[in-house]
Amino acid sequence: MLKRPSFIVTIVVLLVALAFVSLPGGAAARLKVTLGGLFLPLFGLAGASHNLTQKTADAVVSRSTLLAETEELRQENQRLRILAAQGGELLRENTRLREFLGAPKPTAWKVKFARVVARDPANWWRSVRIDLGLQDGLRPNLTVLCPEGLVGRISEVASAHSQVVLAGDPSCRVAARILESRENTGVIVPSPSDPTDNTIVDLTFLSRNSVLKPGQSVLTSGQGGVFPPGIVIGKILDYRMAEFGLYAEARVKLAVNFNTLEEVWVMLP
Amino acid sequence: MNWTNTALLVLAAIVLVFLESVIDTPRRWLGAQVDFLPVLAIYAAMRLNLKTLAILAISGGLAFDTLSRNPLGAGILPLWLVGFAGYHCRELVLRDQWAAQSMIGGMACLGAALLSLILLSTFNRHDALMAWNENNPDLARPIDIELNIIPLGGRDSGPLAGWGSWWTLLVMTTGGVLAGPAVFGVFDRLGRLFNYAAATESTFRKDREIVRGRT
Repeated sequence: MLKRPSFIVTIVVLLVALAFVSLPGGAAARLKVTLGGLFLPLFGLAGASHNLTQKTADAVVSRSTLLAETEELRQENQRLRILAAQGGELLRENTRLREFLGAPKPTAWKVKFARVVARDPANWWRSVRIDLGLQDGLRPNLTVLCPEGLVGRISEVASAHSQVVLAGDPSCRVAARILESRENTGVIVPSPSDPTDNTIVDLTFLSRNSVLKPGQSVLTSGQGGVFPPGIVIGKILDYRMAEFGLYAEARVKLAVNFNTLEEVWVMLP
Repeated sequence: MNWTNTALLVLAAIVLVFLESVIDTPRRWLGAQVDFLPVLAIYAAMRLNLKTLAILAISGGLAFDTLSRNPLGAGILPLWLVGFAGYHCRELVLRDQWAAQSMIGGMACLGAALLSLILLSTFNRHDALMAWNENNPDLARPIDIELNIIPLGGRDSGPLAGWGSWWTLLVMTTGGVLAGPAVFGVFDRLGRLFNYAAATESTFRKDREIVRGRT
């Protein structure tokens, strides 16, 4: 039997927990952002120490290494310029043809660089925190990507930090299609076979007549309204029929390695 | 209540949560992050009192939920329940032995992780059902699927748990086993550093002294 003081403290803790859990979504999000402000000095400290370590590391890099790296970057820059010129010509041609067809003009992506400053301390979710927030023009549901492909979307925005839910998190579903056959569209969800493996997701609700092959590329379809079309998600590993052959599902290996994710780009509206 | 111990524990909880989210080496090497809050809760239960445990559970749980995608308040109950169970067994545990500290540290981490999973599954199922009721399913569009407004049959927004979670639980338990003696050692030392030592009474009483010889 519980003694009186134990009973009172237990009731108080239960009430406090229930009060927080039953807060409406908006109020809970605002409170979370406010409480997150308590960690800002610690984030500042961590950022400063990271910069210091970086500077120290930079100071000890040899001149020959730096020169070799500069040469490599110069060559890559020239190669990318040539590709950009070619891409620009294709874009102009595409715009002209769209004008002939009366189709809307494609919009150029406006992106902003961000650093990953923290990861979800819980093992049950896939989310990271980046160093951009409201003051940088961010708002919820903006797309986050990196050169390899889709990273996720912004879920919560504070003044100087934002939370990004990664592809494969239960709250980050992505409308996707297969590059090789445009009509094959589905939804990216966590893989039920091993949801803890953050490199694999499922592409589900594909047409049962889909022609699927391992190695096919999966891109965002743009049909969901959150993610723009054409961002690489990954490649098909294998596939199976689901729900007694009602639809097909494929396991997809994500293009982005979330374990080594340190820098991302946020797509601004 | 000794406020120094309470303040130290709360401060340690906040800093540990921050470090868990910033340092991802265990996650890179072992595939799972270790959680030290249950070990702090068990320390508060074994060495201090219920009020300190309650304050630690509330502040630590909220700090954890703030940096995590957990619903706010979901981290409080597992910490409290683990600590409360420890508090009621503390007279039965050889809490000064490092082996016992390891054992209860591991059990606390495992218990808190399992309770978190159960609670999160319950909360998220409730959220998905609420969203389903609030939005007419006839109006569901692909955007509703991307924003999780409609649940996809059997694939609701619950926590990521599967066969691989056994490995996660093993890593977390091992972390607790290793952290148990360390937390007890560090906080016992800090406690001695910041608090006055308990006054020890001598059995010698001056008024009962038998003085030999002439006075």
